Amino acid sequence: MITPLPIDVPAVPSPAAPGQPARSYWQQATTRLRRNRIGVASGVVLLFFVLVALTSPLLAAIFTHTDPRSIDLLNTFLPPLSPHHILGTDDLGRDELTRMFYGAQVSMGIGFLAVGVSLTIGAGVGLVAGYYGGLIDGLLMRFVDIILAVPAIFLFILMSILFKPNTITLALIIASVGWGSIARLVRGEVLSVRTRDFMVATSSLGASDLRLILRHLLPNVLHVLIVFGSLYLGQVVLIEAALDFLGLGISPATPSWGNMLTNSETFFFHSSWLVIWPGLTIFITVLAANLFGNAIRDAFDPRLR
Amino acid sequence: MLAKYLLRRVLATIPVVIGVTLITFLLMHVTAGSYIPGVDLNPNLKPEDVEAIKRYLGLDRPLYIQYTTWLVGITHGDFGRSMIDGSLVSSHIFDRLPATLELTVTAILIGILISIPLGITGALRRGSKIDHALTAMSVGGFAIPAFWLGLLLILVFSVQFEAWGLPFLPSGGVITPGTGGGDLFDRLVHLIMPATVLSFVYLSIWSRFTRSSMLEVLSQDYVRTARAKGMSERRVVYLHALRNAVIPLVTLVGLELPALVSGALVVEVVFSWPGIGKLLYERALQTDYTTVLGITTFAALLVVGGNLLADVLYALLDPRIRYA
Repeated sequence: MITPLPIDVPAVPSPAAPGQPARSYWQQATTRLRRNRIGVASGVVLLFFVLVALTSPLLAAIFTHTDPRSIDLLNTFLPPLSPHHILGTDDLGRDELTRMFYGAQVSMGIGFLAVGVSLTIGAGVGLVAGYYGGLIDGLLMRFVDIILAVPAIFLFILMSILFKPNTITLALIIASVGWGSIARLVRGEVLSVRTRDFMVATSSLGASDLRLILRHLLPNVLHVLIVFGSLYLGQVVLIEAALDFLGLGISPATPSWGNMLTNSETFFFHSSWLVIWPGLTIFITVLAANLFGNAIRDAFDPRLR
Repeated sequence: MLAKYLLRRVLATIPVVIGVTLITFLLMHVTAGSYIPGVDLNPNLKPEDVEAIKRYLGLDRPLYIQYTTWLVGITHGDFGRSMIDGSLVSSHIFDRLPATLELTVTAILIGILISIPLGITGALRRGSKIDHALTAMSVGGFAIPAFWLGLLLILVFSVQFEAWGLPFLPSGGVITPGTGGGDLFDRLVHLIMPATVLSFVYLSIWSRFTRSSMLEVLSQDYVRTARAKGMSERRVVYLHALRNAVIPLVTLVGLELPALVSGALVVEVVFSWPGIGKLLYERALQTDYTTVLGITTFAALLVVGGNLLADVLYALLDPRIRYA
């Protein structure tokens, strides 16, 4: 489901100059990340949307003085820059900017939750499958094959009509497919780490399976998780917006950037801004997430550039 | 060795097929259960009538029997019946399949035809303004929501162009209603916008991919040898390098083949394109579980079959893969 992003940012030359103290992999990675200007800028944009999501009631109270659900049928389709409605109002006279604030909660909330759940399950399955190998590996990976064989969008729609999702269940629905790709990647990485000398040494010292997996394997596959997770965020935001747009995501009572565009073709010939704002915001968010993900990838896995 | 590999590969597909069908079937049953549309809304139905309906539809039988009956039906091309009007899901699928294929095949062709030249240009002029512009375009194309791009195109080329008195593109459908669809030009005009939107993501990914693959090939020894022999740059790039550079792209395009059926859903909805995706969407809104289940299973089986086919073809084409 996840396609490699078509982006490459010029590689930052390795900063380890002779004579300088050796620095850890993490220090090097964060240095590389900080030097990537596009990466830092998109990280800031992403952070901005996270802050908007966290403080949307506050922002609405300070700037727009209105509730995202307060309907005002006398003031529908007000154009942008109208008094009290900077971005205009929608077909029910609700303030567009307020709804945009609250929409950030849905996109960011579902985005981070779905990524978090996918990473947790995917890492767990991938570690277990890769570490134990044999029958367990075969069974788990066949299960991943099965999950990934069903076209994701069809599966999302099937689950959406079955479970009538809210914010949390929608994140879980998206994560129920997303973990598969991660499990595959982590397993592949584990297979190459498992046979290294330090693993053999640790296990010959009598370390338990659990200790080996959590203390020795996990740190060695962590970069895979970080890179994949950051690149996956943009995908989740796009999928979630598309499902909301189709009317199969969270209920229209909760404003989201996706469901603000539902049925917009019925009125966009006279109120095009109602199509512009939410779409543009989704676009910027996904762009920032993807660019940030690329910067993370370049920083943590310079070989992949 | 080859025969053994192929046999193993085919056998490995069987559990996946069973798993895919089992998951979609169970998923539907867990929540939809033995629900029959309209039954609980009709006060005139006596409980024994409801029982009779359930018996008639086979819903009183144990779950594993229902599943196997359904599975046997699928092997005969029967994907069940709609819960709402009792029509055959398979006949719906085959009604809608041509429209979807028309759209997705066009989009993939556009994607291939444009992305390869763009990728080559980017690779040959690495670091130039054109290269940076192409990079920016592909980064943007990858982040743009397809449904929003579709809405914007409709807004500009259908709504505004009509308002300005310019020739405008139709905002939806495959043909102008009432014309019968024999007019090729009419079909093309309807195809332009949805195919453009759908090809956008392909363009973004494949042009980048061609670029990096081309750069990698161009740095290899045999390319240097060819240049050292005094071969013209044109011959080096288009005859020697390009051939090897597009091999990985073939894989990538191959991975999109399942999307021939499922990939266009959002675009089909935006442009009222009467394809498989739109069918699934319409039926989902009507909570026609059995139809949604049938289409999903159909698409999933295509993916499994496509993967199998790709692996077999690969093994036939590339001897190194057989022993992997």
